[in-house]
Amino acid sequence: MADEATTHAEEHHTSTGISNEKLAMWVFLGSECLLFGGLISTYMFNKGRIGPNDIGPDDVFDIPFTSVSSFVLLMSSLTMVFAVSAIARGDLRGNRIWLATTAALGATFVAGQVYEFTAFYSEGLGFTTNLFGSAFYALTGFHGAHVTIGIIMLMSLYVMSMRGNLGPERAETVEIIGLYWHFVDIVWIVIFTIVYLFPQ
Amino acid sequence: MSRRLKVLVWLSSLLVIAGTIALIVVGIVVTDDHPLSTLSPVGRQGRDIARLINPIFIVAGVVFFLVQGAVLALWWRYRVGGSETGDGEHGYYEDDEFPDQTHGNDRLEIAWTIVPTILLAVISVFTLVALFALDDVDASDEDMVVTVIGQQWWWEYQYHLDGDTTTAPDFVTANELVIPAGVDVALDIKSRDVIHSFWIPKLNGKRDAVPGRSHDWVIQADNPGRYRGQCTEFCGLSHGYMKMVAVALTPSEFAQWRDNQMTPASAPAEGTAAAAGWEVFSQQCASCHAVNGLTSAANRGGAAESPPDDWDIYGEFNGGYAGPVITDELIAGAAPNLTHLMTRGTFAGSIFDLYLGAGDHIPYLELANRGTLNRGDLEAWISNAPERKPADADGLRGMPARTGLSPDDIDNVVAFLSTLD
Amino acid sequence: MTVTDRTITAPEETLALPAGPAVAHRPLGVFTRPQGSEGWRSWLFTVDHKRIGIMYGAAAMFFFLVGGAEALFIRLQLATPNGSVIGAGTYNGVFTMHGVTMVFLVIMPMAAAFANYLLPLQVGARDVAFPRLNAFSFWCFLAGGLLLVSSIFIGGWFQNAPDGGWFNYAPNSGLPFSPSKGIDFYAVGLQITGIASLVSSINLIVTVLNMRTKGMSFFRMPVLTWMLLITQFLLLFAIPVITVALFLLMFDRLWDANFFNVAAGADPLLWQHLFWIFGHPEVYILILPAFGIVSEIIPTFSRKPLFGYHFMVASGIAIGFMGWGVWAHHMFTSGIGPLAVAAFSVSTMFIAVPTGVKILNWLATMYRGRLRFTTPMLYAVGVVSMFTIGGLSGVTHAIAPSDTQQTDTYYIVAHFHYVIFGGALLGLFGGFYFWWPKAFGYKLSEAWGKASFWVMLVGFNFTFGPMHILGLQGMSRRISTYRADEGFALWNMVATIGSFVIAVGVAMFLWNVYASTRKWQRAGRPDVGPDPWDARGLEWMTASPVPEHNFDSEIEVERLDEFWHRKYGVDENHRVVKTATAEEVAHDGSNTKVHLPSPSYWPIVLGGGILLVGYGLIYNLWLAAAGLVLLVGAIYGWILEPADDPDAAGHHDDHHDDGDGHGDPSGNGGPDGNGESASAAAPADTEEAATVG
Repeated sequence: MADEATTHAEEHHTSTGISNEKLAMWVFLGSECLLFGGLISTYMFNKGRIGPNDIGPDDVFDIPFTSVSSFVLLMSSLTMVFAVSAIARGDLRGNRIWLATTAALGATFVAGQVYEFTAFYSEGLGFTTNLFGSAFYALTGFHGAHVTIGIIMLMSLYVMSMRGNLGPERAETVEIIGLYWHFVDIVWIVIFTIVYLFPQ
Repeated sequence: MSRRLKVLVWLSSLLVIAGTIALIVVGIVVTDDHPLSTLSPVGRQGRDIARLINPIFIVAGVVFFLVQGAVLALWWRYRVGGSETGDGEHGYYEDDEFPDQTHGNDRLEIAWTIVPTILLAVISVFTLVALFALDDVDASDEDMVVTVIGQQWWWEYQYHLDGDTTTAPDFVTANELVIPAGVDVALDIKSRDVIHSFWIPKLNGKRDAVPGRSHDWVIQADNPGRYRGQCTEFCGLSHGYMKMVAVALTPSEFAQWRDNQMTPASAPAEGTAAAAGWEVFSQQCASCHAVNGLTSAANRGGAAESPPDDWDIYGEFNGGYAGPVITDELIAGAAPNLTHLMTRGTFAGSIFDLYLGAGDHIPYLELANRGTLNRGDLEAWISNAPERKPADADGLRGMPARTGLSPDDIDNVVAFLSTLD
Repeated sequence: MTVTDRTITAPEETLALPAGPAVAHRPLGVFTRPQGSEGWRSWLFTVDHKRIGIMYGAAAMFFFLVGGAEALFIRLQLATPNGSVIGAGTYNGVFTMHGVTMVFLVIMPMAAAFANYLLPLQVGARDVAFPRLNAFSFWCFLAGGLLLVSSIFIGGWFQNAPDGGWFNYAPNSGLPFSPSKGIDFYAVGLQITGIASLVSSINLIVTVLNMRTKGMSFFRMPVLTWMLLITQFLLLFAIPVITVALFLLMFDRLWDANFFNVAAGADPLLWQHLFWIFGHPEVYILILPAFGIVSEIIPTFSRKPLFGYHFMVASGIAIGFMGWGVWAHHMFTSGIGPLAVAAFSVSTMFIAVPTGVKILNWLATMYRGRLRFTTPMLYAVGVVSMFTIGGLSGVTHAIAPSDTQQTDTYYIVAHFHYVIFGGALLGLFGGFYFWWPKAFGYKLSEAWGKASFWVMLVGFNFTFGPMHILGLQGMSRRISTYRADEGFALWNMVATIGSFVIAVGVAMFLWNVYASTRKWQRAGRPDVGPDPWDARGLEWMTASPVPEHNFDSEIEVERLDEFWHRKYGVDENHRVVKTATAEEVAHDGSNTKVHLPSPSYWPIVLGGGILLVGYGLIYNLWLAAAGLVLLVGAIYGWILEPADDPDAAGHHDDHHDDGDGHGDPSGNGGPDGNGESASAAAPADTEEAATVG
């Protein structure tokens, strides 16, 4: 990659003073809000639409387990902050460590989700079982996919760093991925609250 | 532009305007006589709506003429000539004269923001008043309620004479909704498959029939008569062929009709064509079509005689859903009840008249006695329904073809159906 | 300064960039970037916003002919009672595809054509913020469009076309009720075009927010820029909502989910809410670009500034906001309860206010102007006149009780055709005539243009005018036929004849394009100047056709309508006097030292991957997997692609050489910053691509 181009991007004056890439990420996240808004609304609309004997939220949720995995994801936001500040300081090694930690925490969360899905499925809640199942898996699955994409991007950054293509001049790239990561975390807080903690 | 072209352009623009106006005027004049017209309501609700909208049509018409007039006036007054190709020294203009460079006028603009706002606020007040008035039903809990059920591609009417829709209906008919004239009739609109919409334009606006939901609606007809309707929410393949009729009778005639509807059919006499027809019917048709007193659970593969209570495992959400329980040969689970077929004026989703030349005028109760049966359409319908009205019989939607029936069989079935009065 | 003779067929003559010193290393040897700006290949790999805009326009025009042919079939079927030209099943497919095509594949991409071509020019930028993403948007849109249209032919004529209406209400869209592949095509195709719209909206929003030239504050932006910006924001927030709905539908149909399964307790109204929360802003997505175009054309041919610029902008913003609060007026008969009906009835009524402000401001712009009725002006005034009719009928069904009579009848069909055809499409056609010389360097024939306008207008009114009457007479929408005794025959016949008159008008437009192009080619390109209409926006301040690098140097803007003010001054009597010719003011495109982003293979490859995934989802998941591999490969190719190809002789240059704005031949601009912006965007948009992909 042409480093000088990036240098220009940072020096370059934009009308808002925010770089194009960062602004694009903000705008994209605005759109994502509506995507998750739609999915969360769909879940809220449908979660109670099950028969009295159907398998429902109360039958499957394991709040302590999900709380722990939520905490793991929350911590990954913290490590993401460390990664961003490390590269801003020029500490490339620290940046790599924190990027890897963040990705690992994210992967732990996704693994927890996979475990959770498997457990629910074995308890009889499939994607097609009832409306709660469809809505639950669609919402949390979408979120899981977002986390997974985030992990892939973090890993890519890690590889770039290993190859020497992620110097302090590209600190903003890490910051932008960080924005995405924080957004995905915040969405999970909302989902966790609404899906798991709200009285059924 | 050459002079001739100029004249041509002006003439054609005037033609467009004049044409549009002529369309509207002629349209309104010619409109009144249409069977589905919304402009000549004959029921309380339809009239209320017309009373609300007609003045607004006039306001809109005035605004229409003001704006179009302004466009034409500005055009006429301020147009200038110039080069047609833009090759002139001044481009498309003939000189470099410029008008006053007005950038706007705040007062004016605030005015034409506020004036329409006030106008619309006034309209909203009238709208809200009318809206909530229309929602009032002038009927008590004990008055008759008709559960109107849409399915692909016909309507079923379940009459609850005591107003209690949670119990089995007193009788069931199809396609023609018979009501007493002069009183509000409460409807409870449901669907068995996809979304339909119940609409008798001369009586009231439309209301969607949404599966899993139950919608209250009300119609009222001032006078006895036949009022046409059309399913007006797109409901798949044969949507265009899903029609219905509301028939308003005098209260005494309605009572007479109602008592007849509650009488079960009796078996045709042995040895007649009708008896042979019943044989065919019971084998070919009775798995979907009920004839009270004749068909039984056995004809329907052991399914229940009448729909069970509302399928309420889903509580309020599915309160009205009648469930696919009558027959498993149709997705909707039901076909028209034919017990009193001959008392109806139309069949097959009201797309065919059952009697020739009856129109909307023969006294409804005497249709079966005085009308000439429309044998051609009826026989064609029995032998190959999908040819007359698109259906997806393989997908369990609509009446399948019975091309295996011989002409004699068909004659006999018609003879049997003719006894259902 | 004079305009250089230039052709669009060989722009590299003037645009060829000097070979810079060989630079650096190639990060990964296998990746190179395509070269050259000539021949059909250069169109496939282009990242130039202008070429992408032209391709959007051409694709939209193709789909317009498809959708128009479908419309003619509809009219033929309904011309007489008991029509049997096409059967009910085919009819359902035809009207569904007509709606889907016209909304998603015609009006939206036509607006995208103008947005792509004009937004960077109007704000004085070199290109959009992310040129490669821009190319991807187009190819992704084309993939979705072709996928949708292919449904007409696959497996037999209209056997697998979507047949649930463009609104596609559940549960009629479920497998039991629509067992063909049609609805799958709908769900997948619209998701793909949705990705295209979303990516494009992000790109254009960033372009407008970030890449405005020096001094181009928000309230110095042309109204078209404003309207397009609002449109992009509406897309940004509306597309995800329909995407959710389409996901749910797809899950239901392909993987047996229960979202619209009534037997499992679902409520079909969920689809209606999701669809219309998207669907109503969508209406403004369709119409606002045309409003912007009209706001450019009318001032130009009135020789006056737009009346009430701030009100025009504010009303556009107001429409953008209020558009989110009225969706349930599509559901007045769905059973949403009287309170909701009342609330949405009132909110809908007031959205008429900002639209009314626009109409009146256009009329005020014309008042005391010097009106020159060129073809674009005819179309613009046509919009004012025809849209008013659609707006007024709109108010009549904001009134909920009367809407229960009108909804789902031909009265509604008439209404939205007056809005979308009489408003959006006429406006876009006006835009074609207005900006054609800017894009291609020659004008379309005025005589043919005017003639086709009048034919189209007359045909339009005879097609859709009678539908008001038909609707009030009780003719329902989407019915494939009607009984003879229902009395609809006369006006249906009139409408059918009218629709063929429209077809003649469109054919005349196409002939105009063909004949004007031929004439221009034969005459050895008698090109137009930079500013053939004596217009006002920055896009006219550069040569026609616009050189690949847009402007020779950065323009410094000091007021609204900067370009016009550079041509005209005011004398002591406050009379407008010409102070400079357009040629003197405009850039001549002679600065060849501008760095431009290199073309790229990956946008079209990515689009191809998405197309495969689309077909794969419908027919075979293995195909989808193959598409996914291609897609992921394209994303990584995209990321690893060098910013410029060092081997591409003549197309690479050194960033430091040009970026600092040496060589400012026109002498009226500041340092050239935009060249860098475009170049910097190329490598940096990769993260975004990864996210979106």
